Amino acid sequence: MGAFDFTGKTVLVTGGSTGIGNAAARMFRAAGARVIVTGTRVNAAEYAGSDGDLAGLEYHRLDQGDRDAVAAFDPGVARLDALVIAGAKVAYRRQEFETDIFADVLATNLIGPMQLATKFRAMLAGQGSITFIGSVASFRGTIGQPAYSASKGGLLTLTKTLAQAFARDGIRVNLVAPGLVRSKMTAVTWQDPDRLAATERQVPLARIGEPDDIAGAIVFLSSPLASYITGTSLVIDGGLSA
Amino acid sequence: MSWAQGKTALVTGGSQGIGHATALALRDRGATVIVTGTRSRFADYDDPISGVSYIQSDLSRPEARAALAAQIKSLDMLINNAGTGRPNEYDQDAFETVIDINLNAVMDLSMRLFPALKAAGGSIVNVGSLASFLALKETPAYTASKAGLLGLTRALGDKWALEGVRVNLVAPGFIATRMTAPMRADAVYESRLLKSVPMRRWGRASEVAEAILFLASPAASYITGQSLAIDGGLMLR
Repeated sequence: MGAFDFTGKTVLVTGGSTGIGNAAARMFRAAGARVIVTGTRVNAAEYAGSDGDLAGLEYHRLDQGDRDAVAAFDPGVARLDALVIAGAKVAYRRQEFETDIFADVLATNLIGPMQLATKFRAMLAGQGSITFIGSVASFRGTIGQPAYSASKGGLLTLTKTLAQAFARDGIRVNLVAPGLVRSKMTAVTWQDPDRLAATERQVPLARIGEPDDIAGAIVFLSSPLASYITGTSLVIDGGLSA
Repeated sequence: MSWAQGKTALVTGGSQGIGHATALALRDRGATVIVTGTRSRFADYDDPISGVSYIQSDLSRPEARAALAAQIKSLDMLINNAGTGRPNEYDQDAFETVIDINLNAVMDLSMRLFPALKAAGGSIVNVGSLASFLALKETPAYTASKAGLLGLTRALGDKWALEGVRVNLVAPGFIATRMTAPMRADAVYESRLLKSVPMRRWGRASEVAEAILFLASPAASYITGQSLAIDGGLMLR
C-alpha cells in the first residue's frame, strides 16, 4: 500500500469504530494519516471485544442521525483531506416497513451524510474528497429493507449531485458499493451457514467480502491517485452484479 | 515494498498516451513491464521508457497476436490498452478495422494469455471509454467497440472469477493525449468541450494509469467485472 501515502493528511471516518469504516480508518492510519473516527458508543474503550481496533485513532461519539449532534460535532481540526461516511444502520424482520423505523434509518443513512458533507465542505475545499459507502442496494431492491435500499439509492444520486456541486471547490465525491461484507451490521445474513453458503454460491469469486476488501477502494478514491475521479460509484461485490 | 515488485505486466499500446503512463507507473512500482506498439522499435516513438521491454506487434493481425502471446512466459497483469478510431467509421471497412483492434484483439489476447494469468493469480484491466456508456455519434465503431469491451469485461469477470483472474475496465473521459490533440486545436471548441466536464479540465494520462494500477492491485481483490470512470465527472451530465 506504499502508493497510498497520507503522511500529513487528516481523515475523518464516520462509523470508523467497527466494520468497513474501521478497516478504512486502519488503512488510512497505516498510510500515515491522522485519523478521526466516530461511533455511537460513549468512548473508545466500549469497543473492546468488537471487531473495531481503535488504537491510534481519535475517537468522538456521534450519532450521525441526530441533526443537533451533527451540527454540534467538532472533530477538533481546521482542515480535512478526506471525509469518509461509513456510519449506517439497517433494521431487520420487516421493521423498515414501519414509518418511524424507515425515517430513523433515512436519518442516519442519508440525511446525516448530507449534513456532514455540507458541514465539512469548507474544510475540504481545495484538496479534499468525500467518499460515501453505498451498497449493491444503491442499484437494486432489497425485499426486506425498504429504508436501507432507499437510503443507499439516495446516496448514489447524492454522490452525483454533490460531485457536480462541489467540483468548483476542488472537492471530489465518490461512492463505493459493497456487496455482502462480513461485519457486525450484516451478521444476521452471514452467521447462518445455510444463508452464507447460498450467497457464496451466487458470487463469482465464491466468497463474501471482508471489510479490508472495501477499505482498499475507499483509500484509493480518497487519495491523490484518484484526482480525476468524481461522481462515480465503484461496486465491490466479487462479481455478483457483473 | 510495492505490491508490483516482481510482477510482470503487459501493456498493449504502451508506447504512447494512457498506455505509456501506465507502463511508466508500473515500472516505477517495481514491475517488469512489456509494452507493444506498431512501430519497429521503442526508439521510434517520442518518449521511449528505459527499463521497459518493447515488442512490435500489429494487434489487428491474428498471427501477430499469436506471436506476441507466444513470447509471454509468465504474466501477472494484462492491460488491454491498445485502441484506435477512424475518421470514417460509417464506412464498413473502417468500422470492421476498429472493431478488430478494439474488441476482437482484446478477446483473442485475453484468451491466449489466460493460462499464464491463471497460473499467477493475475488480473486484466481493459481500457474502455466514456463511449462504453455514451454515444459518440461520429465514431460508431469506437462507441460500439468500447461498449462491447464493457460487456466482455463483465462476461470474462464472471467466467474467470473462480480461476482467480479478475477482469475490470477503466472508462477515461477527456484525457490530454496525442489521440485527443485535434480536440484541443480550436480553443472555442475546446472551451465548449470542457464546459461539459464538472472539473473543467482535461484528465492526465497518469490519472488513468493510477486507476488501472489500483484495479490490478491486491487492494482491489474483491472487485471483478466492474468499470471505473476517470472523467472529472463528465458522465454525471
